[in-house]
Amino acid sequence: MSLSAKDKAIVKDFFGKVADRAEDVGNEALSRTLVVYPQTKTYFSHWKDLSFGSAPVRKHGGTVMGGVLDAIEKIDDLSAGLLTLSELHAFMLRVDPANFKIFNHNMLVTLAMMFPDDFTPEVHVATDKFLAQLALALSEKYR
Amino acid sequence: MVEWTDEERAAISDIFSKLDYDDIGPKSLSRCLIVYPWTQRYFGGFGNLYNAEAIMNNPLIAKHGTTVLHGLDRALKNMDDIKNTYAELSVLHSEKLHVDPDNFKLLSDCLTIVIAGKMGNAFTPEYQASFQKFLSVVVSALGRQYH
Repeated sequence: MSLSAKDKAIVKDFFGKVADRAEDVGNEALSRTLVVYPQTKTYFSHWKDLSFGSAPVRKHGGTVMGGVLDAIEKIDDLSAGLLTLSELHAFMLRVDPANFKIFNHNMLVTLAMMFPDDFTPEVHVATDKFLAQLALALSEKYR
Repeated sequence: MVEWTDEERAAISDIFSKLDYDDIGPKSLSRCLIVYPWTQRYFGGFGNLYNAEAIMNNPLIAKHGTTVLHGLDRALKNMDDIKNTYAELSVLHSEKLHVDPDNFKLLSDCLTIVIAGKMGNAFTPEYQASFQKFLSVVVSALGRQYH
């Protein structure tokens, strides 16, 4: 299910609109992940406050979204472009890759909420495909 | 048996009370057919599914979307025994319709996303958690009679 030229164009166009509110999107998506899938909290035991929109959550949500936007720049070769990030996640963070799917789902929910008119079914399928490819590239160095 | 807190019951009732079945049903089903095109395999007799526009304007798909959502109503009204409420529907989907149960999760995800789009900030994380729990119970009940 690789990205067609049309998928890439749709993703670039849509995330161009999202970029301004990247931190809000990241905050919302990460907060939801922690609330709706409590097992994900196990990765953040070093934070004092895991509540919705807390300072560490907002900051980290912003960081993750920054990564997503950066990946769009590298959309033509995600595996190569995300090599360093993949090594980070594989060897240092050791986040179970199943969680990438979970985070992606919550990003889609957030995008639907915050951009109801832009998040059409066509944008949805292109974004879903892109996020799946992103997760795959991020898992590249795991084994 | 599934345990529901008062907050979960309230959240789920609230979400359903705000739903326009004739709007959300068609939107969710057509989104599912567009985002996960392999699900179209079950709709061979439904006419033109050639592209996203055709799917979104297809009256048979719209009608079926509404039907599916009304099916969820049954679970809403029998939250303490969804398993048995759905026994017949499970047999139907397995024996007659031959639907891969994986598809139930795909439609659930699309329904969640459409409702999030409709409700905006009112679809709080707690609401999302309650609603996804409800849908996962429904999905489990629908898959139960497969063998």
